[in-house]
Amino acid sequence: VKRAEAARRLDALLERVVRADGRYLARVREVWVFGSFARGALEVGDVDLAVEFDQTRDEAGRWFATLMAGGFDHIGALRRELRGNQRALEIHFNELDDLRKEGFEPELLWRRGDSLEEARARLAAVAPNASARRAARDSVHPLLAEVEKLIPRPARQEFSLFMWARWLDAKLVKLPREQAANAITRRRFAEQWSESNPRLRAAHAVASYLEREGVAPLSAGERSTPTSGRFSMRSATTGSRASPSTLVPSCSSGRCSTSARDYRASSSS
Amino acid sequence: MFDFGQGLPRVLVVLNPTARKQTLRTLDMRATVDREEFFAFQHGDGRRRMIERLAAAYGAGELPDYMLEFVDSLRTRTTRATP
Repeated sequence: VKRAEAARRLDALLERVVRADGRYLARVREVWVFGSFARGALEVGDVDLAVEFDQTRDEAGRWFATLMAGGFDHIGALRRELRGNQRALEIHFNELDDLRKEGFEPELLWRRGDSLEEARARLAAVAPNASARRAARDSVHPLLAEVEKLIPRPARQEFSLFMWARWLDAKLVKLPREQAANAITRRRFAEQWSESNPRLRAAHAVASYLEREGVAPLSAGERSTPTSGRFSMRSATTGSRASPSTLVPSCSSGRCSTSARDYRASSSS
Repeated sequence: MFDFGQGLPRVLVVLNPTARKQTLRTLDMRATVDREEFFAFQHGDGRRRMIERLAAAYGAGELPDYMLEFVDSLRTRTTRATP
């Protein structure tokens, strides 16, 4: 994103914050910018924002529990109100202190009570710097170069570490669009997933891939959990486990989103 | 993801299982260490031993580029943990 476009999107966000329309925007206390835009880069990947907002301890626990139970995502709603329909705004909530400890130097754009003009003046004061560059892309093991956006950063790092240590032998495979041939596998899959469930297609693709090696039949669903949506399949004959994961969010800002961290917690537990 | 557990030597992770139009991609991974070594990495002194290996390789200039970010993240953690 060109800097001028990023600034325009930031301006629109600040306008929404000052107007405080919506259910959550009035809670916003401060808006800070950091990362490549704050350094003055002429082109940025995402605009990294640190937003401090009011939330009681009771709400913090309740909102999390609600989200885990599959209920309303209050933080997501705040994020949507802040972003509007704009992309490329990466928002970190109530992480200002942590960001500073990690060496970031956020620039204040708006504080509760400021006018839009004051915020715009601060935004304009974040000067471009032709020598500043976008943050370097994560370096990843060559095997992941094409698929890095599908894997959260912590998992990419561990994968790279284990490959380097020769603890892991891995290959990236394009799965065939085929159905499992084994009748038992097909019956088990049909009991686990409906025809319209895209995971059924993934399961069949994995099964047909493994059948070429003589791994069959597979069972399904033993580790299915309603919150993660992950599932696994087990071969009854060899003990091989095929474990399709959910699509997980990428982390292009250099700081992983909450969901990426959660994924790591669930995947390494 | 990397905890193969239960003696299972192989894991396939479909990276985009809900994709409808794109080609499905999977990482077909085989563990080449036994579960005890992996368990020690997560819960014992295996992580320290791994970091020592990394440090030795880094010192000898033998770390590939893709590992440098990981080493940087270790440095950051160490710096933050040091009073």
